[in-house]
Amino acid sequence: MSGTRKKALLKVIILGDSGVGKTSLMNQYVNRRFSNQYKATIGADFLTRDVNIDDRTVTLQIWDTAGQERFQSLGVAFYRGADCCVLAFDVTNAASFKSLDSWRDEFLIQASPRDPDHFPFVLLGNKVDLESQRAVSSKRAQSWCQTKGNIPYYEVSAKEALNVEAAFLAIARDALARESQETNDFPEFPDQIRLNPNQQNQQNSGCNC
Amino acid sequence: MDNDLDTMVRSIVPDKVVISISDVAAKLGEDSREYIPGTLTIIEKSTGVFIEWKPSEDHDASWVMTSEDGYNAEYVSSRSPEQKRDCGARVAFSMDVNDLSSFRIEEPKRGSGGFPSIRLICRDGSSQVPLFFRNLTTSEFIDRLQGYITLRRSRQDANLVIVVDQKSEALAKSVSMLDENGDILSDQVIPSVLNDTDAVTQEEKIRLMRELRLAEEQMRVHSDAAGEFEVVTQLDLPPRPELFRELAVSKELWNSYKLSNGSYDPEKLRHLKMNVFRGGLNAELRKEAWKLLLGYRQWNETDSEFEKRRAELAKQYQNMKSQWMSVTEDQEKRFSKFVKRKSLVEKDVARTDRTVPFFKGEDNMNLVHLHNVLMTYVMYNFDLGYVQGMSDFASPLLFVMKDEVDTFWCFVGLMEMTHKNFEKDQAFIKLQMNQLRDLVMIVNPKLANYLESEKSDDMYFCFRWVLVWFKREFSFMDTCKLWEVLWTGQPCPRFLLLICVAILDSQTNIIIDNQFGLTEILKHINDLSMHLKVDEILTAAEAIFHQLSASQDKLPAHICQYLNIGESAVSSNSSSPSRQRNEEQEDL
Repeated sequence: MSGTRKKALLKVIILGDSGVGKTSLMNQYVNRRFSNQYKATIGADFLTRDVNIDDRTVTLQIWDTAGQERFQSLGVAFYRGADCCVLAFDVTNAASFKSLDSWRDEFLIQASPRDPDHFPFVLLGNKVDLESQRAVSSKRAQSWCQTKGNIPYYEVSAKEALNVEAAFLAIARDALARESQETNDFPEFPDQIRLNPNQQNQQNSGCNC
Repeated sequence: MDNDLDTMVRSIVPDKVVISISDVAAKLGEDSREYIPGTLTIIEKSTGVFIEWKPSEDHDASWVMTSEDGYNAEYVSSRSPEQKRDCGARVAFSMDVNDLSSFRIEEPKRGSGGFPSIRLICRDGSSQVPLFFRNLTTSEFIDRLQGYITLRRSRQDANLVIVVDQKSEALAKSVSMLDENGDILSDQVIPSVLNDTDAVTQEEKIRLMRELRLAEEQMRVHSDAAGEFEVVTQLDLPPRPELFRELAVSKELWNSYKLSNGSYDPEKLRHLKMNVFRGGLNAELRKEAWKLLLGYRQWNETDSEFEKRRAELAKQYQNMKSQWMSVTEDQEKRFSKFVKRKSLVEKDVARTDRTVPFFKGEDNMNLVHLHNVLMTYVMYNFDLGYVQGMSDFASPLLFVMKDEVDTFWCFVGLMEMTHKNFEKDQAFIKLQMNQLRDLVMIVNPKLANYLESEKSDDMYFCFRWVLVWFKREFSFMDTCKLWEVLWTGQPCPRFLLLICVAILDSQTNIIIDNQFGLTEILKHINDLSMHLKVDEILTAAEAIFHQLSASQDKLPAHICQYLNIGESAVSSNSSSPSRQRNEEQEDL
C-alpha cells in the first residue's frame, strides 16, 4: 500500500477581491462542483485534496479567505507557512485586476516569507466562460505577471471546470519542486510541511500528517 | 480522493469490499428532517483502506423523514430527483481510514424509535455528515473498522471514540505506568500491541517520558506565573444548573403586556423580555415584536404616535433611496467610493440565503428589496458603507417584515447593536475575542490551556460566530429564534459570548482528544455549522451565566463589568434560576 509513505502537505492561500470566485475555484478543484449559491466567505476555511505527483502523494490544503480587506488582518495566523499564494481576479471585472498589487503586497507583509522576490505566486483569471463581458485581456494579465518576476498565469473558469485542474496541479508540482530544493520560505516556522508544530502531535506524525 | 493514477491502478488490482451496510442514511443538517438513504462500505483498494458512503442508486427512493419529535413516522421529501441527486452527491464521501481521527456515536433514547448514529471526524478537523444506522446496530461497522485501526473510548466523553496511534499509545501507556500520577489514558484501552513490549524501544520510552514531564512542568509554571491565570485555575464555579427552554411567547401572552393605547407597561418590560429570552417568539408575532426589540418602535410609544413617526421615517427612507437611485452612470465615473460599495452590495445580494424559498429563483423581487435596503443604508451611513456580513443581518429582517421601509429601520436598529463589528480597524471584534478567551479561561480552564498550547487562543476560529451572530451556523429559522433571544439583552450584555463559550465547552473533548491544532480546530468549528442544536446551546449558555453570576465576588472585575454582573447588576440575577422561573410564572 502506498498509504504508508509520508504525505507532503502543501498549503495554498487564495486571495483576491470579493466575488472573483475564490470559493468556487476551491470547490471546483476539490469537489468538482459549481454552484452560484456560495455565500460570501466569512473568516477562513480550507478544503484538502490528495494528488499523486511522480509517485508521491501530496495533500493540497487550499485556503479560502474573505475578499474584503478589513477582514484580512485577523486571518494572519493561517497565512503563515503557506507554500504558494494564488491571486485570483475576475476577467470581466477590471477593478479586481487593479487590486492584485495590493493583494500581493498584503500577503508579503502578513506572511512575511524570507525571500519575498521569489515566493511562489500564481495568477488565476477566472470567469473566462463570460468571454463577451471580458474587461481584462489575457495579454494585459500576462504582462502584469512579467513585472512580478514571471509568475505563472492561468485563464480559468470555475463554472465550466476549465483549466482549474491543470492550474492547481501546476501549483502542486512547483511547490513540491521547491520543497525538494529545500527552499525555506519561512525561517521562523521551519517545519511548514507539518500541520501542528508541537509536541503532542509529533507523537502522531507516524501515521498521516 | 481519486485521480488518474488511482483509476489506472484500480483497473489492475480489483477493490475488495470488506463490508457493505445498506440503509445507512445521511442527515443533511440538525434542523433538517431529511435523511438520504445510502450505503456505507469499507473497501480495500490498492491505495489503502477506505470508508465510503454513497447515496442509494435509486434516486426516486423516498427519503426517510422522521417527524420532529424523533418518532418514526415517514414523510415523502418534496425535493425533485435532481435536487436529491445533488444533495446526495454533496454529502457522499470516501476517506482513507488513516485520515480518521475519531468519531462520535449517539445511541437513541430508549423507546424513542430513533436510530444510532455515527459522525466521523477526520484528522484535518473536518467532519462528515452524521450517518444513521437504520438496521439499529453500529457494531458490525465498528468491528470491521477495528481490523485496521485501534479504537479507544474517550475517558471524558463516552460518546467519543478515538483512533489511537498504536505505537504512541503503547508508549504513553508504559510511561503512565511508570508515573503514578499519570492520568493520560483511559482504562478502556483495547489495542492489541499493548503487551507487545517490543513495539517500543527503551530509548523511545525515555524520550517520550521526558517530553511529557516537560509539558507538565510548563503547564505548572504557566499557571503559577501569571497572577490572573492563577485566579482562573483556582476558581471553582458552582455546578451548572439544569435548565429548560420555555414555549415560544404566544400572541395572547404578548398582548397581556400591552396597554390599551398600544404601548407597553414599563413596569413589566423586563418580564416580557425574559419571556422572549426563555422561549423566543411565535412566528406570527415577529413582525410586531422585532420592531420593538430592535428599537424601531419605542416601548412607551402608543399606536398613533408610532404610526405618525413611521410615516415620517418612510419619507426619510424614500429620500435616501432616491439619492442613490439618481446617481447617473456619468457621475459614477467620478464617484469611486460609491461604485465600490454598490458593487459589493450587488455581489452579496445575489448570494445571500438563495436556498431559502423566500430568496430563491431568478427575478425574485425580494432580492430587489434586499438590494434597496442595503443601498439605502450605504447612504444612511456612508462612512461605514457596506461591509460583508451586513446582507446576512438584513435578510431575515426582510423575510419577517416583508416591507422595505420597516426592514430598513429595523436594520438600522440592528446595526446600532452590531456596526462596531464592521469597523475598518476590527478593534471591537478583537475585543470580543479577548473577552471570549477570558470567559473560557474561567468556565473551562482545561480548554483554555489547550487552546493556548495550540496557539489558538486568539479565538479567531470563532470570528464568523461573532461577526454575524451565528447566522452561518444555524438554519434560517433557528437564526431568527436565536437573534430575538439576543435582542432582549437578557440576562446580561454580551450573552452572545456565553453562547460561544457554551458551544466551545461542548466541543472540549473532541478538540483535545483528537489533538487538534490551529487549523484542525478552525475546520472542526466551521464544520459544526448546521449541526448545532439551538435550544440546547441556549440553555447551556444561560446555565453558564448563572454559574458566573453566583461566583461574581470571585470573578475578575473586568468580566463582571462587561457581563454587567455584581453590585451594579439587577439583584434578581443572583436568585436561583428555578425559583426565579417559578416567580415569573406565577406573575403571569
